[in-house]
Amino acid sequence: MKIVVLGVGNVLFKDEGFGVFVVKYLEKNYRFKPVINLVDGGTGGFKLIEYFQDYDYVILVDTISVKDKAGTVYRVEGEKLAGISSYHQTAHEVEILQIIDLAALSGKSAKTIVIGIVPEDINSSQIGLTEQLEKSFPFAVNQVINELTNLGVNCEKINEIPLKEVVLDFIGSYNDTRRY
Amino acid sequence: MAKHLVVDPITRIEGHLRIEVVIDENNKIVDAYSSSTMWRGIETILKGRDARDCGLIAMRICGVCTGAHYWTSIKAVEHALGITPPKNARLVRNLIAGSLYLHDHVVHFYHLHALDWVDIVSALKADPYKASKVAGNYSDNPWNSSPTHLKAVQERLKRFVESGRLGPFANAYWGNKSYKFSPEQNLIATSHYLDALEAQRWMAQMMAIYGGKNPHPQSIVVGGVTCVQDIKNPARAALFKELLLKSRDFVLRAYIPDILMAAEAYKDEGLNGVGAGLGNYLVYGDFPLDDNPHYKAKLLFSPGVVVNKDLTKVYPFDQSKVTEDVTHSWYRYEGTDRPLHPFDGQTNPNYTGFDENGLLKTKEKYSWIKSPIYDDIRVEVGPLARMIVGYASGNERIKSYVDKALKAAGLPASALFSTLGRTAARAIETWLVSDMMIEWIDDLASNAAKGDLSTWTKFNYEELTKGKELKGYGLSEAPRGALGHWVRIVDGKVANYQAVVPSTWNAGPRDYKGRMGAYESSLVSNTVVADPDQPLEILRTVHSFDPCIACAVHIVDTKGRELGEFRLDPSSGGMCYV
Repeated sequence: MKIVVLGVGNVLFKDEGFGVFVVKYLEKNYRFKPVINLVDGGTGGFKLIEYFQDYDYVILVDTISVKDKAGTVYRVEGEKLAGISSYHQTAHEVEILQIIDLAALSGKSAKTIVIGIVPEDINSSQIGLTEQLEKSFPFAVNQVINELTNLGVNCEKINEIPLKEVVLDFIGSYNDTRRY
Repeated sequence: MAKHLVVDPITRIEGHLRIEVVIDENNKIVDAYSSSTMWRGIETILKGRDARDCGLIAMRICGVCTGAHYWTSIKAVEHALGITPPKNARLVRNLIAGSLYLHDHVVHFYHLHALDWVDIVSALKADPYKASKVAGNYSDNPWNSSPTHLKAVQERLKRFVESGRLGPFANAYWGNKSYKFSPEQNLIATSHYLDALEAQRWMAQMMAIYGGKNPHPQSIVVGGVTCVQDIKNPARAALFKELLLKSRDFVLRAYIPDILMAAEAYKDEGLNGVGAGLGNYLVYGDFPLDDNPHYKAKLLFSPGVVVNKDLTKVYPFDQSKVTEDVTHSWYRYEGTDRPLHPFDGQTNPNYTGFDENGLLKTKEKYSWIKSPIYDDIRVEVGPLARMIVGYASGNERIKSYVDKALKAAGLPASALFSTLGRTAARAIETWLVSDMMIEWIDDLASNAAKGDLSTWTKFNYEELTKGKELKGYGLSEAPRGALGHWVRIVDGKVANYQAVVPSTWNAGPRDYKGRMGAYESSLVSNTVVADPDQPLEILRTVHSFDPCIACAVHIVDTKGRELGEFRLDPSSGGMCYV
């Protein structure tokens, strides 16, 4: 069984980096048996489709546009989001839900679970989460661990490196702190 | 009576492109405005950092051209430091960039642009036997076009339509008069749309062989590349070549024939210059073919400027003539109102909003995109610019590929100046690049076999930068067009950083002289909207540029679907949570 935790988002825009930070946090703090794939999907767009085509399970961690309080975490199965995409009468690049639909069209599609968080600020140019999302971060990480555990993955916590340190190691700054 | 049409109203997600056009009583587009809400501010994040790290951060600007930003940033820093990477690094970079071209262009044509040309529902009416024959009109050996296969595709499509879950095909403008393919042609293209979902995987895999990972490759560093183990291992080159040949096969037997099919069905639009636009084209040049340092190498894509569709004259490209104007953009320049060169660039936001009807204030500021100007002319960048400038420069390779394509389509070179030409140029260069990549991978493999494993040029960063102010620029041709990064390094730290991306050139608003940007100009080029409620022609032309505007955020947009039942309750999750 091939499992991937795919963290998606733009780390340059505050809470947009959430999914990527979760993946980096898991990388630094956990050991998984059997080995699973942790992928920083970043701003990957269409290039992420291979994960939905090649894996049995995709746990997608991302921000989600739901009218709710910032920091609220949702768990949505991919099927519940099917069919939202449509011919882009807009002029922009494909969104993650279109990728899920396209993968289904290609006849190969992973079972997808979205762990989504409602963002507070995805517009400011800064690396680092808002306070509201920092508070929810451990809860969201736990949800991902729960999903993995349910899939029979043994998740062992091996370190206690805080989020801030993880992001500093990854990309050199976190909110107002700079590594150098 | 003039009428306003708005395509893509801005949603709550920042970063969307918005097009407003004015049509006359005959539905002809007489005016057009391009606006984007994108606001990047990458320089605020890069300022003060070690310049060697710029690439890793710059690549996060965009999800599609992520690699292009990555290596363009690294090239800028190498230029500032005066470092030339070795031959293996040049070849590896060409191969990674080439893979990106193949992937981007194939995905763009089939998955982002095809539905502007192809009426998928019409394919249900096709006769698969006839369609199989029709496919033979555009290729001696068309991709996956047996009657049995096409029949199976049709049945699959029928099931999709009947289930009502059209997904990416939903809400398209089926039956619009501006669709020109026969049901059989629509079936062929639809079949290739599905095949391309598989074929694009090979191209993405190629990128990861020497790029290390996908997305966001990580093997390119200031001074060279780090994938020495992959270069040493002949099995990696063999795998790359196998994937390349498969991909090239798809390009030659599906993509090119489908473009020829479009050139036949949409011939009149090509001949009438529908969507032609500015007629001025700019190319920075890329894909070095030798190891001469810093923009002195011979390039696959010739740099230069063609003005006013005049193929008899090419002006040399000089980066110092690149400027950005903010007269109609939501920024304010301190101390000047003249366009600025990127080395002196400023990014001070000055948002003035929309008018009382929710429309763009077109007389004032109306976009987050600046207006780039080259030598006081507005220009288009991208595949069409590369083919036009190469053609006009007498670049033998480009000329021969363009001529082959024009001959097969039975069209004159003047047909290139159109939306059709822009879309065809992208396919032509995909063909050219896929052929060149065979030479590069062979060259890399034989170079490694000869024992040259050099991948990195040694340098001492502290010595090179201490107490100094250095300036450099990275000039590339991203799949979407000319991409430039300009960096100023003071004492080893980034003091200023500006990126002028292809979509800035193309999607920029009017400038200080009121001159249109490339999208705007192309929309007022001989375009009639068949049905104002279905702005298909507008989308076709804007998509022909392969717009890359909304990369800023990647939220899961649930489009208002009710999801309350999936909310997780922290109290039962046992975690402290507000």
